[in-house]
Amino acid sequence: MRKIFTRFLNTLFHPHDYFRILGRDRYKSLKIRIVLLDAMISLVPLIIVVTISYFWFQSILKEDFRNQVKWEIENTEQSIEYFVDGKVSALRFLASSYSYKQLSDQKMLNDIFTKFENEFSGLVDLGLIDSNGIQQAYAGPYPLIGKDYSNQEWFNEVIVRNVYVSDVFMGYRRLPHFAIAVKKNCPEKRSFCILRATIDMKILKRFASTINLRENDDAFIINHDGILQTPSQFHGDVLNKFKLPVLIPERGVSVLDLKELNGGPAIFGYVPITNSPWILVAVVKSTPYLRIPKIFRNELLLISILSVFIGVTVTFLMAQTVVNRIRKADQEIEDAMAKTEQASKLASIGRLAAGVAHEINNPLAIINEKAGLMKDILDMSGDLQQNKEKFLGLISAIFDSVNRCSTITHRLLGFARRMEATHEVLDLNDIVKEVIGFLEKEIAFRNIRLELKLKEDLPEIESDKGQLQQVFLNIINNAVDAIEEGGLIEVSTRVKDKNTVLVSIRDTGSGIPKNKLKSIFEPFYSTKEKGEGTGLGLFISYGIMKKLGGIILVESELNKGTTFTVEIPIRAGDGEGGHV
Amino acid sequence: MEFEKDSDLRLVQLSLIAKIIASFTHEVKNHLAFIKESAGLVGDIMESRKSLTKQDVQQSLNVLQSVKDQIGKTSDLCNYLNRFAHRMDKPLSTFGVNETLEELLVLLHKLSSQKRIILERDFDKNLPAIHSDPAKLQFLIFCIIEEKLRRLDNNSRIIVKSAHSSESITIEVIPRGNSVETVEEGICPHEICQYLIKQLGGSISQEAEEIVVTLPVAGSPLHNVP
Amino acid sequence: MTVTKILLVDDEVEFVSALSERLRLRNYDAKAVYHAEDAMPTIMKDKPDVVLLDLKMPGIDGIEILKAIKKFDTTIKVIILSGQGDREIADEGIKVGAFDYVMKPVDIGEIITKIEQAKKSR
Repeated sequence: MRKIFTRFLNTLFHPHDYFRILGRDRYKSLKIRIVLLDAMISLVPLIIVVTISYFWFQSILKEDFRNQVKWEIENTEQSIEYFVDGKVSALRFLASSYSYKQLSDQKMLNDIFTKFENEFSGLVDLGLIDSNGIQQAYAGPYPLIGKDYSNQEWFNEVIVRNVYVSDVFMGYRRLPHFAIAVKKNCPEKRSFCILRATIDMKILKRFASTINLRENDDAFIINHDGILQTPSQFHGDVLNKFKLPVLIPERGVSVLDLKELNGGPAIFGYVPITNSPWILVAVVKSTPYLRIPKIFRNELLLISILSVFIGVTVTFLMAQTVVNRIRKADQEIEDAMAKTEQASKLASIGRLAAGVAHEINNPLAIINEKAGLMKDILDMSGDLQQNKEKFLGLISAIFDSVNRCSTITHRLLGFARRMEATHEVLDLNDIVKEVIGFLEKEIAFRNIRLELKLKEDLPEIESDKGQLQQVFLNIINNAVDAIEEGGLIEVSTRVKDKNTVLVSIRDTGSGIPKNKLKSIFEPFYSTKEKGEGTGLGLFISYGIMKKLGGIILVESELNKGTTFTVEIPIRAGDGEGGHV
Repeated sequence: MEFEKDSDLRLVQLSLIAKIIASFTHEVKNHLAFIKESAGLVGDIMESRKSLTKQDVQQSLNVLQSVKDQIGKTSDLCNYLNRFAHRMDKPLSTFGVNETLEELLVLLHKLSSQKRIILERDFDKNLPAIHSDPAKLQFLIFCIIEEKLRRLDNNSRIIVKSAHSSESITIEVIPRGNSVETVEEGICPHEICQYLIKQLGGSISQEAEEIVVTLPVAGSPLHNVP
Repeated sequence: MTVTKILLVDDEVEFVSALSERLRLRNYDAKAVYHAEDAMPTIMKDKPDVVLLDLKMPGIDGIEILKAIKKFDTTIKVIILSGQGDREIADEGIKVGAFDYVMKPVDIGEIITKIEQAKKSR
């Protein structure tokens, strides 16, 4: 795993090691690296930020929603509480306003009931129960006069508590009700009596429903035993048992996150309703807070994708521009170098020609004088015998001068021939051997072992001898300098493919550090002391090979050595910008 | 593109110069050989005889004179090479077109005499000096002449004529002789000639086999651009 | 008629020895020095009428020698021996005070003429 990762990093930062890309492809790889790096640098934070924002936003919304649920539950609880309080107060008022006599009067009770009913929503009946639990008077739809409640819990409770709110119960006709009972002092009876009102559960249900319910949500009222007081959507009907997942505190709203209550997460909110036996429960499964993030996410995604796209495009364009500028600048330098090279070549040959013309003058002048002198002697002196030696000497001098002229012009001719880049048919091995010949002394002097592995039957190539030799000379010279003392230089030739032959020059010198490898072909790159070498050797060699349709490749390892490989096309290619 | 043309130009120019130098060298070698032979001859005369007759003396004198003549010729040739070489010193100078043509023709003498083609001059004596690039001009005329040399049969002539009007100078290269088919490749591609004449600010026209190069007297406009 | 004293200063030994011999055959008192350093001492000793000076000797600026000669004795006439490509130097020499110049290879007749002219102008 590590290996793959390291490999990936290496490819990213040092593609040269893997592709040995030199020349034009160098720019493509540079471009790719810039774009990738830039994209990564801009993408990664963007992704991180977007992700964080998303989850953060979601959690805020969720929190918000929970608070909303809590608030709604609270509100509803208060409403119910006030309602119940209100009803209790009303009943109390009734109880205190009327005497036992009045209340036990059926007609009066009916009357009170009718009036009460108008104001009292949900009131089902009203009844007066004596201290024995017998309903003495009753106003309402059911025939409940004389009913004995003495065994009922509520009766006993209200005796103790003075006020009692009951749980919902299945009343007559199987309709759920709850009752509020208040104890009243009945001095006539020398005891107490109870005024009881039955209220339709629908009222409670209505309250529960005020909680803003969405499709999958459920709000209902239960008692402390978990018996549903109002019907619920998903958790059972009235008077069914609802399993309480938690312990209900005495007071206050609690909101919990529950996992998979009938599948999926839910918010479970509950609050005991003060002054009542009930607990308000809301089970909220809906997740509206997710819906918003969805939109958010869509838009965010869109914007992100758009920005990534724009970013990458801009990066790419910028990389393109920058790399093109670099390439252009490099090209300009190369061109300027080549131009300088050419111009200086022209200037030098001009100077050489002029120099030759000048140099020849001297020997010509000599011949002139010698011949002139001979003429004079012949003209003026009669006795030639004594001058014979002299004459022969003069003639000999003329010969010398003629030879001198010849040498000068010969040199000029040689130089001129070298000026002409020609495509000749060449034997690569011979060329290599010739170059080695120039350096043999130096190599031997430095105790460097030389190994030649020249393939026999190497196909003849069509190229420029002078320029190839210049390249080999340069590289081998560098190899010699890299070794300094002792060591080995191995020169080999072989066929690469049907179009190419190669010359490899390997040395066991100090090697080139990997991070410098791509710079060695740049102009003015030199590891030599100031003043030694121009740093142009490899640069020019590289340009020469490019023009000849070949290429120079290099591999190196510190302290192990370096291998330069020169690839030469068998047929004179068109190198870039190459021409004769 | 501009640069490529320029570097191609340089390469061809170098080829031209190489050819001229080769021609020069060849000619000088001949002169030197003659001188050597002559000196040898005199030496032989001296060595072989016990005493010299008047005839011997006269002969020696003649030979020695021809040696001196030959020296003169060689020296002249070197002079021309020198001047030709110095044309490349500056890209812009004021010069006489006839002189540059003369240099070229002298230096090409050997080349043309290989095919026994005679180079004739018909120079306008009152040709005004122009301000331009002499090396490029020589280069161009060389290209034209070189092509003619290839295309002409042996024993032909090429006339190089200079003339002027108030605004321009014309150089005509007029071949006289039969053309031959040739597979030999010339040094100067057509584009080079076009490029050169453009750089010189002039024009080339062709009528039949005659080529006319026209140059403005005021100097090449292109070169006036710094 | 006094014999004209000529000093030749040129590092090309073969050339200058042959030329001075030819001059001697024509009744000139011609002497040659081959090193620039010897020029001034010899001039001061021999006091020649005409100096034939090569300006392009290695290591030494011919113009400086010319100036030195002129400084020493303005009546000494200097004729410059010039190579084919040295027109500018020759012209400079004239400006500095040389009498004339001849191009190598020299024509003996021309040299004689100029020597005579130089002598006459003294």
